[in-house]
Amino acid sequence: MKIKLTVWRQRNRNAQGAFKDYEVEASPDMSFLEMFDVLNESLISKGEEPVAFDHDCREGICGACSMVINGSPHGPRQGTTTCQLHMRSFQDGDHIVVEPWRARAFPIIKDLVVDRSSFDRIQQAGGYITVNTGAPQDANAIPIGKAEADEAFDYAACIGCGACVAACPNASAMLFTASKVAHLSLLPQGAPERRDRVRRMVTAMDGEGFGGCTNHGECSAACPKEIGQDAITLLNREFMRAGVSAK
Amino acid sequence: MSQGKAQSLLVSSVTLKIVMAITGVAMVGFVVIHMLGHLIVFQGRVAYNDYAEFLQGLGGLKWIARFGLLGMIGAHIAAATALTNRNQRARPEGYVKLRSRRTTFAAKSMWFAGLAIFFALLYHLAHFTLGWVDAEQYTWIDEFGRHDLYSHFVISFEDPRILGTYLAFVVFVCMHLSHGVTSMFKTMGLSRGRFTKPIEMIGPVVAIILFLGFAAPPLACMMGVVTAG
Ligand code: FES
Repeated sequence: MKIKLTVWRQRNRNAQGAFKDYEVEASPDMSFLEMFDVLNESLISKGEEPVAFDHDCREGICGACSMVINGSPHGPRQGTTTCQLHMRSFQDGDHIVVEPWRARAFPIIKDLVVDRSSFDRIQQAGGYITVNTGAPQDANAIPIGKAEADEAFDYAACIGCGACVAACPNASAMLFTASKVAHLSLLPQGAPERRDRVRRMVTAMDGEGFGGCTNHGECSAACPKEIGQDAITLLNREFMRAGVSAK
Repeated sequence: MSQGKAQSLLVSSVTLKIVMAITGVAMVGFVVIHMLGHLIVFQGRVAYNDYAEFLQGLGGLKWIARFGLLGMIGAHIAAATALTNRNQRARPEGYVKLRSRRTTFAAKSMWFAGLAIFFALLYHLAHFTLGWVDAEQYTWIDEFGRHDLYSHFVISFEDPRILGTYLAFVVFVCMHLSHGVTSMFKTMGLSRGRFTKPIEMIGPVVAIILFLGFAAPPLACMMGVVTAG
């Protein structure tokens, strides 16, 4: 199948970027990233600079891949990362526009690669629990209800790809931050630090220059792990709980 | 209190959202009572002017409510301005194309509709509260020697220009609330699990009820169902 691509090219952080058109001969069995590999091989053989894009596991679990494909982060398929998107989702002769995540807190490093270390800093601000080192406790030593465990696991599924920010009309990192807060807020292990966690993570999120949440819901719609907006409700609850706490 | 704690509680984006929600609840409460007040028009001149007299007779309470509402409006606008500025700075370079999958027109036009409501509200106050528009109607009195708000109301809405701008005002309010009311529940941490779906519906439902309640009296005046005679 013949694909016409329009791709964002930008030499480095400070350079002015622009769109460039390419033609690729792809197979429907290729993943979207493999189609880019084919494009890059042809660019290299022509002596041109290949398109830089982030990728690692290519099996939908690491969150490295990050392309806005025809206006949708990770492309048109629900609950699918770019690496798990296949060319069979497109038609022969399609024109596909590929852009990087766009947000002030995700500066472009090169072409389609953005710097997502702002997420790491939010995570480091409070997305952890404190445990004793030494021999691990028996797994069943702390009872956790099935419903809580399942819900916590849904939020723990966040791979930190940043599609929520990319899709949000406000470039808000609320769903990412909320997934981390919600995940730990539902588990007994997360209880000791719950007040400081939500305060610090929200402060870090605001400090990175992300926008605020206005409940558009675009984050959840774009999330490859389909994390719901209930996470955000839980963050709001945790935040108010911390707010009325005297400590 | 550590600096991080003070900062996150005072100026964080989540705090601003909570300010939006709490002031929003108060204003929605006012809007609902206001709509019920309008519907008294259907009971005729005496009932309507009685109601107006009752409200005017509240004295101190009336002024507390007025200043309270003004404060709410001020805080709502201040928080909205701070959040909107932050949101606009958050994506300096936009996409050539960003597809929306879930958001609504109402959600995307919150700022614009909010502004429109603010200016329409000023006009509305000038018209019915301050009596700057059609000043002569403001001097009408009923058989008991009170300000005849009933006739003022009915005659006003027989004018298609006033009816038109008023209906546009109502549409903006309803649009704003169809997203705002649902949003309020989410911000206050109430929309979760089995409550999520009903709360998605609550904004649109409130908007429809308000639209019907606010549009009915003026339309009745226009169509001659309610008359000043
Ligand atoms: S490359 Fe790891 S999730 Fe796509």
